[in-house]
Amino acid sequence: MIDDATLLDAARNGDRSSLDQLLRRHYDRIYAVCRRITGNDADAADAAQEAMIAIVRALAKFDGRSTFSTWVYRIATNASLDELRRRRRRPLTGLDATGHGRDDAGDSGPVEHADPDSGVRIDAIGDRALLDRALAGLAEDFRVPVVLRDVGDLDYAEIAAVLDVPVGTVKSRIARGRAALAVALGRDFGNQSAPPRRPTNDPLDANDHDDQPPMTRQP
Amino acid sequence: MTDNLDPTSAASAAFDGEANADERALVEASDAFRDEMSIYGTLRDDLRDVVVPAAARESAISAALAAFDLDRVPPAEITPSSATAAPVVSLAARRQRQYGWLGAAAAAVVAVLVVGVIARSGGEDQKTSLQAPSAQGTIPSDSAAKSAPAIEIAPVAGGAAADTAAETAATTAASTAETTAESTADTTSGTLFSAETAATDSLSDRFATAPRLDTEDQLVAFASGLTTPITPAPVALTADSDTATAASTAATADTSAGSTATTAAAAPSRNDATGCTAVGLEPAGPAVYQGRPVYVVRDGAGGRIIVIDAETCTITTVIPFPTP
Repeated sequence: MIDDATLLDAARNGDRSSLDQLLRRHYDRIYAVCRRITGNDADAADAAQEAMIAIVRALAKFDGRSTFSTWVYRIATNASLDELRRRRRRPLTGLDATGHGRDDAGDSGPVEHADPDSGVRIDAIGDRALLDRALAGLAEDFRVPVVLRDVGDLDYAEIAAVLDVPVGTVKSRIARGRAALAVALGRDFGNQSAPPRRPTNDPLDANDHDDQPPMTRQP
Repeated sequence: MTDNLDPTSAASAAFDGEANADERALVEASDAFRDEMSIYGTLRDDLRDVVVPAAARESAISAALAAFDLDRVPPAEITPSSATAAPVVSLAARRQRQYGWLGAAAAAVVAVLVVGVIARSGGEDQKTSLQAPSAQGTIPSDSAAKSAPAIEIAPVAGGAAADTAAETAATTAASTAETTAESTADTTSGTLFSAETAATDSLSDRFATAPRLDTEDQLVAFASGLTTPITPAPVALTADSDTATAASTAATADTSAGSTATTAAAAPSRNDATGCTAVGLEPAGPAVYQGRPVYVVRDGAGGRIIVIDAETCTITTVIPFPTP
């Protein structure tokens, strides 16, 4: 497999197919990062597309000090955060602030299943909805480093560079964010208490201080 | 020193392979921490379990490649007029106008009726072209508002809708001018074309008789048959043309490739015939390419054929145009 650096050099020299290959290689992960940060498919698609265009336009500026993937996820993260800011300015219609419909699968009561596999499928949809809600309830300062670590596969130093915060802060935020997510998803820890929560109506009401609770609302 | 360790950070850092010696020792000494790391593993798997829509992928990659193509056009091949006019309509701008298509559609109806009325009453002026408001970009709202009530629109629009038709027309004229400025200013991001459907007929109607193309060879052959490489003139509506053919009717004068291909002087910001925003590259040649309704553009200056999805107004394909 041709490595990123080779494809990048070729793309910079005008090789369209190399660029195509490079973009395809990273798109799915970029989309996943955007999806987990923005919390819904539509915003993720927009953010991912913005990121792809930004990557192409900034190819000449990439100086190679970080890996290409780190650079790409930095762009994707910024595009996602921009998308969140735009979402905050948009009026809400039939969706709540997380972009979910009000009739989420997670809210539905017991149902009878004619299809024997439908229960499994509904459970899977319910699990995804629950994860979306748990992530949406996590303050941005905690959600983004967790996503960059677990989805973007960046190490702590790379995340620190992307977010422009110290490595120790990244470590702390990831730990607290994960713990909060695990508790919100009902995955109990035996050795620690649940992280504190601060119920609000705005899941995007991020806080900038590590001594603040990571959860902004009940999932 | 171990007393100062945060147990939550220790397990999380150990899971990531970022723990220091003390943290590793702490985690390895406890089954509970290992269980916690197992939970983090499940959580990571869940977070990575994202279904990527294929359509979104292709759209994003196409948009990025189109941006790449446009950025790589040598400066010598871009005339001053097209260079300043080449627009990128941002997603934000597109969203702001998300519901603007209603007004645009109403204005298009008004424009068609204006043409019809003038055609009926104009005698020899029947063939006289009328520039669409968007072509001028500076039409005062008042003039559009004044012209609208003269149209026999009441039976069509009916009641309150007729009352608001003039206002809608004025709004559309103003918003079109705004689109030009906005598009020129925002060249950093977004979709290349905005999907504002201003035409009065539906896409399915418009493409019902369009040629079906499946291969690039067919695309080249089809593009070769276009009368002009690029529509150089502002969008014009003639008395005997409908909106679907307005763009090609407007571009009639000089078909010699290269001479007028990139002039695009005073080009409009929106081609009302197609509903796509594209200054400098006027969409033309409606076709169905690989099952999708598209506009095929022959870019004489760039030596390429550009295929624009008619529904999303995004570039889906760019291929070289063979020089004869």
